[in-house]
Amino acid sequence: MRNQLRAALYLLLHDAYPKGAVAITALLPLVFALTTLIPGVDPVTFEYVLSGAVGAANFGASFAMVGLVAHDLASGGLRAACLAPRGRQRYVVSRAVLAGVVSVALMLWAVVFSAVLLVFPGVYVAYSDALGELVGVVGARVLVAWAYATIATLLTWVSRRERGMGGVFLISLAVSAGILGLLVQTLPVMVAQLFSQELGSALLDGLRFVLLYPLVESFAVVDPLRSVALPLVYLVAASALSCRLWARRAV
Amino acid sequence: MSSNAIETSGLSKSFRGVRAVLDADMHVPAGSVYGLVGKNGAGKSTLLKLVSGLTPQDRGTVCVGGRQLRPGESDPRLGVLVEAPAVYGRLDAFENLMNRALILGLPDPRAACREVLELVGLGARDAGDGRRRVLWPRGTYVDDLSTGQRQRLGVALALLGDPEILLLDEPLNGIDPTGAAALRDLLARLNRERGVTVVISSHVLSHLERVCTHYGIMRGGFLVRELTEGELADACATYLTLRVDAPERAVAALAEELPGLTVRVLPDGALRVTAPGGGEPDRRVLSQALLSAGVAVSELSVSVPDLEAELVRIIDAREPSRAAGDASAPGRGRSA
Amino acid sequence: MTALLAIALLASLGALAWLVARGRARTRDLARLTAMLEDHEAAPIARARLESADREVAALAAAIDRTLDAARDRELARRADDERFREQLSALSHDLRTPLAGAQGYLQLARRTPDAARAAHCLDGAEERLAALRVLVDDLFAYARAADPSWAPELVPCDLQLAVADALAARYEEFAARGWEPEVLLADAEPALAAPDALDRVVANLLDNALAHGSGAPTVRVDGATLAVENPVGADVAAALDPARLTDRFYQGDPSRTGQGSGLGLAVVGALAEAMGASFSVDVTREPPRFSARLELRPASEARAAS
Repeated sequence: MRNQLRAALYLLLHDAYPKGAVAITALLPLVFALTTLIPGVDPVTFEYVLSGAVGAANFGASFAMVGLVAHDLASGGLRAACLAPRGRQRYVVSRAVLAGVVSVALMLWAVVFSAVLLVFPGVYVAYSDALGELVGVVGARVLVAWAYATIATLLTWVSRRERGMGGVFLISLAVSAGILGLLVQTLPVMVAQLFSQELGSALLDGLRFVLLYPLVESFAVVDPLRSVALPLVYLVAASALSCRLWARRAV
Repeated sequence: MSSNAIETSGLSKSFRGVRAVLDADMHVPAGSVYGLVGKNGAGKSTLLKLVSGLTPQDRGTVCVGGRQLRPGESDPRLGVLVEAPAVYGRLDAFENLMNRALILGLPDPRAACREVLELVGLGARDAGDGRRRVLWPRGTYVDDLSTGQRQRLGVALALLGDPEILLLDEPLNGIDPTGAAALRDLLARLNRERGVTVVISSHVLSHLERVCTHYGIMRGGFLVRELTEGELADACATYLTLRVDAPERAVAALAEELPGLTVRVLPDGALRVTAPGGGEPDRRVLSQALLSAGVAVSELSVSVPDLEAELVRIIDAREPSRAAGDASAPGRGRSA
Repeated sequence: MTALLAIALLASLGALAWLVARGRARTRDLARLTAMLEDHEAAPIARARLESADREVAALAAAIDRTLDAARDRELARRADDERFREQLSALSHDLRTPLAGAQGYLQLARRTPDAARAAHCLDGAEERLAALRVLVDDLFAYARAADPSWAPELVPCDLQLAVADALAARYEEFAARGWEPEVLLADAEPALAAPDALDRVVANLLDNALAHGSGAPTVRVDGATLAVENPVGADVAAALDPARLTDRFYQGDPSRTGQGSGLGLAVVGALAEAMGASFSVDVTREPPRFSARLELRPASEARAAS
């Protein structure tokens, strides 16, 4: 077990952002459940509450990681990690692994908390035999959240500016809500549309195939292979880019 | 394998076209206390960052303990404090040290952290007199510590893990005189008892005196000279101040007998005698010469070599002189 | 469902990789610890750093660090001891050189002067210096012998009171010259286990100490197998003496060593006492300024009971 990972976990436990992420993950489903108490509001399915929790956890993973990395950059804390054998490389990889740990932990928390919310009378389980499916979906979403978190940390590292909570919030939201993916898709398609309609729609389909945000548009696993492979590809690519970024940077 | 703890060759680094360090050939002997001196902005911090691997160099090589490092690579034998201490503002001192101790993989991180805090004067005992404990558990955030305390924490971070070589950039800045003396004693003791090589940079020469065995002088990004303490002391002018009953006869006698000496008559009638080359004149010969001329010496004192003045002289010298015996032109040593 | 399976597969692969990495980290750590110990001579500062989180390896590394630290501390203490001894020896060499130079100087003067009375005076001076030198050399030799751990004197029952009485009688003139009458308190007699010549030397040194450094008549008390000597000292002397260091070799209360004596007297007593299995302690009080020494010999009855 690499020492950097142990130190990163130590920092995770002492940092404020991960705690905020845990709170946010619980907040959204709680709100959903609470609204059912308002007279006149229809009851909601467990799946609905869970999807909210999972979405919040998705955001929370990016939020926690971007916040952690922002703290690394703000003070000289980064130096403590880099002044070690193969420090720069291990710093990046440890943060990538940490993103995975955070994603898994938050998703599990989302599931558990949503299950707890079943005590609310307005929350009911619609299809009890589809629970297996739900587990698959949550698992897939873990990978997507992990990929998003890694991309978000890469972006934070690239810009290198000190960020307060507002900046952290915006970056996490932009990445994990798929806004970035949407932008990446829209601009080329718009340009292509100027030339020809077919090119435009072909590009649109092609981009939708390789971007992450289409994977999470519905709370179901559409294409199992892509659901697992695509996030992993993004994850590895983002980590590799981050390694290269830090290899020759002044710390 | 050389006996130098740190050896650089042709080290250069520019930031956005501004030359920070150029062609630095640094030689830090193992077990020495090396003082890197120079004015603010001379490139001391940058040089230390290059050696420690925090900043990759544009050109040149860095060898630590005989092993050449890649640009940006850090050697585990180094303990580093460069510019501001590398700390997380929203953690307390102990947690910051724990982070570093975990990264280093120390067998007993908590004990190591406590020990090193005691060493730098941030221990539990030092936060006494009824104040809330500064350190742990749930101690003051580092952001809220005073400059001196933060600086000590930086030194503590550098000392974690028993490094063989310490690189300290202005470690005594912001620390009160008593604390600075205590830290300086600590560094001297580490050097003497454990043989730790210490590289301290400072623009305040009084921080370094009596501790350094070697000096490296930086000016405008160049490492202009390296000398040992002995060489520095030799270079300082030493003179004798005499008070005699017949100054004029004394001057004449010395001019006759010892023409090599430089004699100056001071306003109050005392004589200042310097040997050629700035050394101390031979007192026996001097006394005999004066005695044979019938001059009685009522007072004789030796000046104390002023290392600080000599260092300032070298730092402020007009033309950049290169290290002795090095007739290289800039641009050599392009290996990266 | 396939997504679930894929994820389960990934997770298990991840866990496997983690286990393998952990095992390799442990092996690397053990190899590194071994290398560190082997290179300890070349790189004495290095201490353990680990990659694995195994408790056992960490415990081993911590134990190694502690051992290395202890070894280093012992080495430092030894070097400090050596340093101190060298300093003390160098100080003592001054003490020897001065009377020797004095004696030589006086002899030279005696040779050069034509006046017979003056020559005789110079010879007296030389003799005085040589006597002082003799005392110093005797003390040094006695100390070296006493401090030798392999010297085991033969202990026989001795009469402590007789030894004390003899020593006092031998010094009667010196006490009389100062106008001091030592107060002697002899309680019940008991034979004590000691080496006779060592015992004589111990008593002699204690009394000489009182003569040389005291400011008034000493009190000598013999109680069974215990000898206690107390004498008043000057207030400034009492303030300058550090009781803990009184039995150190060459310790003299005056740092510039201008007083007489070698500073060995009490050290010799301490070493001889230890060699005889006795206990020796000294103390200095400031109010009133007094010096006291206490020697507790082993009673002869003890030996008889043991045998």
